[in-house]
Amino acid sequence: MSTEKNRARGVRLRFFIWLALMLAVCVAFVADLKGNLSTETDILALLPGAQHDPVVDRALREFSDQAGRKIIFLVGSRNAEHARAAGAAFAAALKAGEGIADVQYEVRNRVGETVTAYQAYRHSLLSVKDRERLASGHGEALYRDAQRALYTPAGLMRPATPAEDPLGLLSDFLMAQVPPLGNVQLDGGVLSVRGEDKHWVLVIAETRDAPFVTATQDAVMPVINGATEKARVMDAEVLSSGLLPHAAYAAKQAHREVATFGLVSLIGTILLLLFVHRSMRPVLMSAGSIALGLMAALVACHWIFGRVHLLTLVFGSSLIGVAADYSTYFLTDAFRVPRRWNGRDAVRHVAPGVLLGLGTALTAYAVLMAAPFPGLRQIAVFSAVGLTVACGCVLCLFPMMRPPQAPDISPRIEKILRALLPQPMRKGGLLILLLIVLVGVVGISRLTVVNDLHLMQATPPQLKESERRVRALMNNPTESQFFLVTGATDQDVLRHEEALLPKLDALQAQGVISSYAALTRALPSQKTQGENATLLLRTAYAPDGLLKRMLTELGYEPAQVSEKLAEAQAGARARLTVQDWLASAASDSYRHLWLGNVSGHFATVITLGGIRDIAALRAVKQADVRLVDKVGDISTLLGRYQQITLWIVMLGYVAVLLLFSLRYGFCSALRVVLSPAIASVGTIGIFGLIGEPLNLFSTFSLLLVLGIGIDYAIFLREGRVSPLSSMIAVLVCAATALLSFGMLAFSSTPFIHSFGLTLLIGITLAVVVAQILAEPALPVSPGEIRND
Amino acid sequence: MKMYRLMLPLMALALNAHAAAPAFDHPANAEQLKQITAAAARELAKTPVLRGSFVQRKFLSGIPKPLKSSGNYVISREQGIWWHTLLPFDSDFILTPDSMVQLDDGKIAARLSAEQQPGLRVVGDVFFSIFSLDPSALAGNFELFGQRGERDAWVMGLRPKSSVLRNVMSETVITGATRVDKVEFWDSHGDRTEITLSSSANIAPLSAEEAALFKK
Repeated sequence: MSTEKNRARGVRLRFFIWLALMLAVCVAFVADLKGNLSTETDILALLPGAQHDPVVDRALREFSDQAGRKIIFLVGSRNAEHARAAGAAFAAALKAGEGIADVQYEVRNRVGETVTAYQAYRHSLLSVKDRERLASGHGEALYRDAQRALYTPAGLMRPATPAEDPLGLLSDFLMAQVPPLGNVQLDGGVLSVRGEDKHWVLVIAETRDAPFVTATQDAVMPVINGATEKARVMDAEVLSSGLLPHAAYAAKQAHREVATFGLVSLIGTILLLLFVHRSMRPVLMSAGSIALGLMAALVACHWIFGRVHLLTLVFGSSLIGVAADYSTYFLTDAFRVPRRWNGRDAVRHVAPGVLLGLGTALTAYAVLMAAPFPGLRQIAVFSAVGLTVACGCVLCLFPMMRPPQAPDISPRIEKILRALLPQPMRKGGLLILLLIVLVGVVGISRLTVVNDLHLMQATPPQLKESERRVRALMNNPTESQFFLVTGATDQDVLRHEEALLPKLDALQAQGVISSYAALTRALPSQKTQGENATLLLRTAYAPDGLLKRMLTELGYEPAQVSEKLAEAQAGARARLTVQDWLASAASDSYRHLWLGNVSGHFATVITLGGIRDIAALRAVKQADVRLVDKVGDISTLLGRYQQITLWIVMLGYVAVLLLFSLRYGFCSALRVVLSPAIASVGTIGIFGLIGEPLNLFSTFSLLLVLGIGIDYAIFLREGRVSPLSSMIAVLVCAATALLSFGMLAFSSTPFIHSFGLTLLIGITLAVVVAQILAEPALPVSPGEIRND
Repeated sequence: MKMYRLMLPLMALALNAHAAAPAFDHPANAEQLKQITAAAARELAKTPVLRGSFVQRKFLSGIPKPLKSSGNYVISREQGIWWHTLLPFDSDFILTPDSMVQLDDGKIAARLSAEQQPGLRVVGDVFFSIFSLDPSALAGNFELFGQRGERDAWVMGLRPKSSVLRNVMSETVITGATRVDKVEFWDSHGDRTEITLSSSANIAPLSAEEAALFKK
């Protein structure tokens, strides 16, 4: 009897300790989050960087952050004047809006300032073509070009005047820099495109913050919509291309889905629990344990990671399904001894199964923590904390909360339940198992595996179409792949870039790319400047060189000619530095390519246009230069992590089998482990048969099929003394799980859909297989099990 | 001496300003300009191909003597402009809506496509509209000015709306009567290019040789 007393004291002690802990969680939740939860929606933030070099990683992040903030708009109308007016109104509306840092409509061309900025250094700057001509002794051709500029309309395109640039060297240098813009043309001060029988003007907007932050989306999207409406009223159509509209749509969609699915699964679960227990108290107890679990999980993630990711919330909403299981196991224990059930005794019966389940889940999450997914780490922390707290609530709080007695089961339902009770294996059951395995084998042979970036976001067709039209209209847009060049000093990085450019020129000539933009075209390294100066002094600036001839032809008197020649020779000593260039108008079109000092290294970017053969670009090998293909890298990365996840799943099965062998012996353990295993094989098979490709997220869900499916098997195994109540527990658990996870299969976000569909099929199969494989009830002492 | 050198450009500037001024006294819209230049436009409309000779003189700031060149031109409304400089040396300049090509002895010496130079099409458009007297095409890129003189004579002024174009030509004055007689460009440095045109009676369609040039 004293053990009974001790046990009661223990239950009470645990209750108060846990209650105090939970109060602390509530306080922390209110104090820490204050109701405003900032969510991160960039799925890529969950994935590890593609590069292992932290310098490269940071440089990349900086460049893609800056590129990600840009949105390109085309404002078009059949009437050129309308298009222009609408474009101006659109740009003005954007400019006045919240969250937008910069709007580019009229081309800011500072040719005059650019010429002035280069003026002092013009004797050490040469275009590639002029350098080759001078070096190979073809100065005559250069001279002829300069003459043509003087006497024919060819001179019109020259930015520098003959007086300041008699040989046209500076003009050539400047003209070789003009970035190719594809179909885009300068028209009356704005960039415009003709296509689809319309005139389009180009507006480029840059948001102040990253597109994946919900605050940016909330601030900027209304501004864009308002501006678009304004243009529409003025008889113009607006097309857009950029990350923000996609990110905003995807985030909104995901939030909406989490909300609706959460609500549906909540209502469904409440109705189900009401039906099973015929009392409101179990519903509130379940809800309370889940809510506390979620709160603790959010606080933990917020503390550890600073920001909670949207994906974590999606998984969080599915966590409800697992956490509800613990309270279900506890509360349905009431069916074991109707009318005489005591919550304090229940712990003894439920705890082993629940703790074993939690142990399995925590093992799985610990494996996830060790796997190289920084993002999944957050999900693992979230789930582990949430489940542990929910489990604690069930085991510590529930016994003292006077859970209600089980209601009477109607004879009809009892008949069904009894029919479902585990039996010695029969032919029918074996046949079903064989069928599932067969589906698995056939399906797996037809399975396709797709892992790419498009899985990550729901893209509505109209945005996709708009993006496609912008690309087609502009004809040669900058691609998402680019070269990253690094170096120990600013001059190193420039020299490395200069070494790469001849290779790119060759690739451009072969048609591998149609264009590229490199800042060394506008800012040669000091070494190249020095070589240019030496070359000029040796050739064009020599005492009887081209410069003297041109000056004489222009009509200067001999004294003036020698004066100007001496000036040029002296000027060849000046060198343009990175700092001066960056501070001047000369860097206007190239400044974004200079990443500057990144963690002690200098980095520049070379953007590419019209890539036709990515393999040829990958083949370019040079130290301190790498091709960055984020989209391709991410697909490869997702694929690689799918492999890793698959290994983790298999490892998980082996670990669980070993663990359970210790408790049940190998044969029983195998029975327990086989049910999620066969369910998983069947799920993959069905994916293959219905043509649903497998991806990282469906593979990841198999881990949850293991975790949840094994719970059912464990509970049927542990609850052999009271098969009826165990059966009720498992069925209720499966129903709530399907209500929460199964809903996700209807998501329009591909990866959430994959996740939901895997669990919908997997859990259904897991229940069926667990029932077939479960060992029949043990004969037990009367009184423990209801027989009548 | 030093004073004199300083004075020269100043005087040139003053002269330029004086020359340009009257053309910009009367703002006009495209419709008004059409009426002002109606006589010339009527003549132009009759001839899809214009031929003639030109004399170009460039007055460059800081450079002592004007640079003079002369030659023949062919302007086809469909194909483009062929500017054949004969003096001081033989050089062909062919401007089509999509490219700018320079020939030396019939061989391509330099070629610039609109795709490489986003500004090229504007320059091309402007030239076409100037020589084909198309005020409505000019209205997109320029503020327009214009005034009728004695009998059929007229003068037309153009000021670019965008800073980009202003770098190439800050002001343009076109004078004519039944045809375009003279075109003057000022650029932002005060350099002036003056082109005097005389037309020939030959208004035959493009010959095969001429047509082939525009395909280069």
